[in-house]
Amino acid sequence: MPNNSWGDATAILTAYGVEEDTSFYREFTSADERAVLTVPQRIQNAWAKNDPDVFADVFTANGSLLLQDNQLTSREDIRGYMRAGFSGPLKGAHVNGWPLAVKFLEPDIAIAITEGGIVRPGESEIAPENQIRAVWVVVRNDEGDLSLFSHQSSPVKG
Amino acid sequence: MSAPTSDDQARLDDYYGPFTSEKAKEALDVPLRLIAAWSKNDGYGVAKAFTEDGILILPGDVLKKGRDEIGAFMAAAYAGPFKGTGVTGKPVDLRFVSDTVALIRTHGGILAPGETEIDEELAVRSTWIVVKRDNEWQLAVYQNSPRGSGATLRW
Repeated sequence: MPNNSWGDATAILTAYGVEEDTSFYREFTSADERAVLTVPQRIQNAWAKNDPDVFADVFTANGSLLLQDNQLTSREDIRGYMRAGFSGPLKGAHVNGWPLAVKFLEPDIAIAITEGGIVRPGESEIAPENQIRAVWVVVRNDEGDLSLFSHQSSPVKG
Repeated sequence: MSAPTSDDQARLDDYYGPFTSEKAKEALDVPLRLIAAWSKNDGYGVAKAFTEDGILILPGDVLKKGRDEIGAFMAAAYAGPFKGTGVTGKPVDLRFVSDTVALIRTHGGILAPGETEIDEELAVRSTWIVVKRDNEWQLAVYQNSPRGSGATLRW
């Protein structure tokens, strides 16, 4: 293990070319919590850019994503799915979210719970039927890099 | 607890499916404990499958944190909408994040009273984040999302 810190959020985001939104963290403002929350911010950035490679590269090689009724189970599956999505049904869509919980399960494994949802082109906010809560499993590798191991969302409305 | 019969063993083998290593079976004990508590409509029994600070997320605006909240929620549900229901699920994916953290995915759902098959609109995809604490696998996060036709595109 490199050290006990998950890194500096501002530096992590700068390295990925993501503009930091300091209001994103809400009450989760410890250095390690903020570092974990760089992963959702990187995903939001990938949505904003509609970029499947930026999106997929946030995941571990065996990363998984549940989108609609499609369980994707590798980074390359995710890349292919989002490439088709961003040039088709997801074109122009972006996502907004905010954290509800951040927990460290182990020194190198954290989870974040967020609330938010998809915003379609022409919409200015998340439609009620699109509101979700998501669980993110974030892992830190031997080099100290943070990746997304799993993302799943559940609809807030029935 | 009586010794398992060959029927019990066959049911267990069917549940484990391709996940047959001892380590996998240990982790897959968590859903079994929850299913067993559910079959008794035991809200606090369900809560005991979770870690002390476990999290439960269900569609319908349910976010419960900690055994107390989860137990109280489930006890109320068993007195109302979940009364007499069962739950079922079968692992479709199991991956270890570390030796003591694993992600289990099951397909399952709530069984209406007396039913042995899941109604289509009750089918869910569940993710169980389980952790080994004090030599026992426990549920750190349980979450489900609609499966099949009920699964509309959301993020």
